[in-house]
Amino acid sequence: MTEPVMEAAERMVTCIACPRGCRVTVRFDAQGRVETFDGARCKRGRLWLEKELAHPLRMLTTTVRTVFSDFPRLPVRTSRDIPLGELLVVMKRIETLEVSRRMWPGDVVEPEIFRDEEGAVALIATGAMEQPEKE
Amino acid sequence: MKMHGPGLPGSGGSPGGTGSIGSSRIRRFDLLVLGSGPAGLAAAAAAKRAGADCCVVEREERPGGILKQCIHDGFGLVRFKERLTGPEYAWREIEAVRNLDIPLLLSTYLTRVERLPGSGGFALTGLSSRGVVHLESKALVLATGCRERTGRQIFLHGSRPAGVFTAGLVQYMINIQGYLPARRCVILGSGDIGLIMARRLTLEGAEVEGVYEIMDKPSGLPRNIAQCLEDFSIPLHLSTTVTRVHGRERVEGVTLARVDGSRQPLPGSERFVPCDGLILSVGLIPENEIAETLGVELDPLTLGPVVDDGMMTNVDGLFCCGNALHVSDLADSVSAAGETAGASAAFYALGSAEGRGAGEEFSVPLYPGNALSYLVPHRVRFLVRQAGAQTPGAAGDVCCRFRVKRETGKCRLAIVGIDREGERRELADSRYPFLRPAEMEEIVLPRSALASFLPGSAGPGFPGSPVRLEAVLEEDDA
Repeated sequence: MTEPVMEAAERMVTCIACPRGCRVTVRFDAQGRVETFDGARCKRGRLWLEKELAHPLRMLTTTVRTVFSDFPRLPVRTSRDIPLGELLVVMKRIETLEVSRRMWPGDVVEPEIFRDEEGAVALIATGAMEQPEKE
Repeated sequence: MKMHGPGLPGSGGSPGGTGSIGSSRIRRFDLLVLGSGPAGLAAAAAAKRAGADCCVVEREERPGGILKQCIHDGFGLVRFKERLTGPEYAWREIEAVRNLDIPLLLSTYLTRVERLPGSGGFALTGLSSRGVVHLESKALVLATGCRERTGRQIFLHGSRPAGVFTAGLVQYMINIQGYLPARRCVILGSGDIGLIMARRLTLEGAEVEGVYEIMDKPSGLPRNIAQCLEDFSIPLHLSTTVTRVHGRERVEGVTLARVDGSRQPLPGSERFVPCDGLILSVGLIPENEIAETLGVELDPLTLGPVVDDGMMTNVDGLFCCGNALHVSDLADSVSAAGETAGASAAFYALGSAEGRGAGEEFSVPLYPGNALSYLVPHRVRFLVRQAGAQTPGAAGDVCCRFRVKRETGKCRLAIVGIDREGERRELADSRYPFLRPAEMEEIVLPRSALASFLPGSAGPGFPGSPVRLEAVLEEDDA
């Protein structure tokens, strides 16, 4: 790895609030709270970084098994971003699902695949399970 | 009209005239679009809206092209102001084509594409589940996408065990077929596809031992390094490459070595990593087999066809757009390019003698200059108007797409016109906070700037007429 050597209370983060992708060095105080940023070029970025460091969220996109041999996996996404730390847990839940009817983008595969203080997160189909043309 | 059914309408009342070859009908259209990815779908919709009778030919069972397997999000931020996944974006474009009643010929593999003698136009023969298909059109839009570079092309040494895949193939196997191609793998190449698959494999329970990049900088975007590697603690090793693949029936491991400034392996730096899969993310190449059989001139910088600002190749009536023209990063810009090609092809196909005679047209080359690795289009058409004639369509502002050779900070790109005497005049400029090779960018060359460069009825022989256009990059000093 060619990452620079850091003190224990520092971390390098990429801000993705905009396509610039600034590399920011974040310094934490003795209690683990954010002390300073170095390298963030705008206010929007700093706000995004504060939220990100406190509670990183990600959109989960994956596929679900179906019963259809012409469309074995249905691509899906969560209805909103969920905590980064929960992605693998939610993936395990998704592994237990099976789609048994043809679905289209926007259809709800599972109404509650995850829940947090903000409420339920659904699993939404993103693919179109059209039947291929008959011979 | 049907929204969810398969694409091909019945033979009664279908658009296009019909003739026959023996027992097979020839279906004729104003133009045909080859490929139903984002480029082809946008081209067909634009052509139909411009009044042309068209049909999309697709070799796969379903439309959508590569977007069907790009299940991650980030698509449509420009085109729809929404963050969509690849399949959702594709669905929007497919619905638009269906709502315009454009036939989609699916599962149709073209075996021959030829120019028709005499009057011009194209004849296509294909194989589908319905048998042999014969098509003819006045114009053709190639939207055939791109291929992946393989181990052969990057001179990978070793035996040929199972377990060596390109990243796009891994994406297809996981997302479309539902197979996990490896349990513990090494990824060679830090381009975006490799990074996205590093995340996908990890989410599905495979172990990605590391991503290895021969250059000293990653080639993918910072946001992908962050969200695909850092999020999952997958190490990125720069200036390192795979020198050997081990295993007879199946990959058992790879030898990795550090490389020097000339990308040569450093002796003594080798180490062995056990794994059952090697995934290659080493570049994309425009797919132009059909173009080559038709005698299309290719640009060695893009490996796609040389085109003018209407996306027409050197072959009259043959247009190209999307990844087949040059590898793009955003589906949004591919759709925009497809619309230009579709409108332009429609104008060509519908063009009458009166339209063509409206003025004398000539074109000048547009060069990338020293700072850009490529710039498309390669030629810009100028029309010298005759008094009282209608302006032919498809001659709007020119959207020029390019990549910079090396990462650049704040800078300004200008398009300069140069005449026979060497006089230079700036026709367009645009400022950028930064430019990266991994992010294709655009600059608009307004038609009004071109018009002002060519006053009145001046033509190629006149002083002040441009003989070439060039892109010039000026970096701001930090």
